[in-house]
Amino acid sequence: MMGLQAYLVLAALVFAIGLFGVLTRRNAVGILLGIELMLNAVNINLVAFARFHADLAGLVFTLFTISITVAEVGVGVVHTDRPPRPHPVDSHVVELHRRIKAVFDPTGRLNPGRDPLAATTTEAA
Amino acid sequence: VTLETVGFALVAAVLLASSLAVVLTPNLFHAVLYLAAALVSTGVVFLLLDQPFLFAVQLLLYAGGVVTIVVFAIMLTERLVGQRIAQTSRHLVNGAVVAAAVFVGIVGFLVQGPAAAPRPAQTVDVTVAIGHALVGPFAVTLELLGALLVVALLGALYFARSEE
Repeated sequence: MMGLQAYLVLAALVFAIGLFGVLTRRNAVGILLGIELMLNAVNINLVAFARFHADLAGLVFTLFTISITVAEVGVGVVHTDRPPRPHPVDSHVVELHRRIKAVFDPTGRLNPGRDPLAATTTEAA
Repeated sequence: VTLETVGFALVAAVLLASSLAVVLTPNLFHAVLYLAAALVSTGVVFLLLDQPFLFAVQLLLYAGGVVTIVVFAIMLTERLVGQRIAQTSRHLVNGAVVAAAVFVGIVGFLVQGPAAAPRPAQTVDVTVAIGHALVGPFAVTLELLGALLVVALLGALYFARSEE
């Protein structure tokens, strides 16, 4: 019979591989796949502990993690596909931000040569 | 050597190989397909632990749902962008060192623990027991999960609505 520890070591290996993916991948979908592997490793742990301790809670928790992960992937994939669009901002608010920046940074040392506020969509008040 | 040991070794080999392929392959589409293989072999691990119901859930939700969503996203994005998306990695050595350190830490913790008790015999029908638990002691949690799914659905609707 396989002992509990064999399953736990297997889960630890999958977790480490997923962590490697999260640390090294450069795009959001690749990182998401690594997170999937890590969650999967946790599920193996939950089921193994539940089986070897004859406890039902681990199995129910696995069901919950799986469902939550599916919701998370849905939202995450939508985000990687289409970032949230910027809200239109009142032009007075943009002007206020410009004045605040002028007070703290009169010589323009921060973000030299760039105007981050220019990208803000404005709407007439 | 029992049949269970052989099965475990086989499934572990497939699971580890496909997991490595997920994080190492340069093709994003292939990575998703390898993830599907890893998820299915995780389901087989559940089978080895006498949980056929969780195996079914794993296949339906994970391998069915997640992989379909991600494949759709990739294919649509590639069509919109008009080029294949390369899957690049960086800091391979650093990542490998951190991951290996975490693995060694976990295994060191496991070795210190007491020897695991032998596996108890499966006496009840687990599927029936899970069903009873979901509407019994875990009923509130189940309702919370329903609320979460509604929120995710509303969020998806918000993002999917047309530009005015």
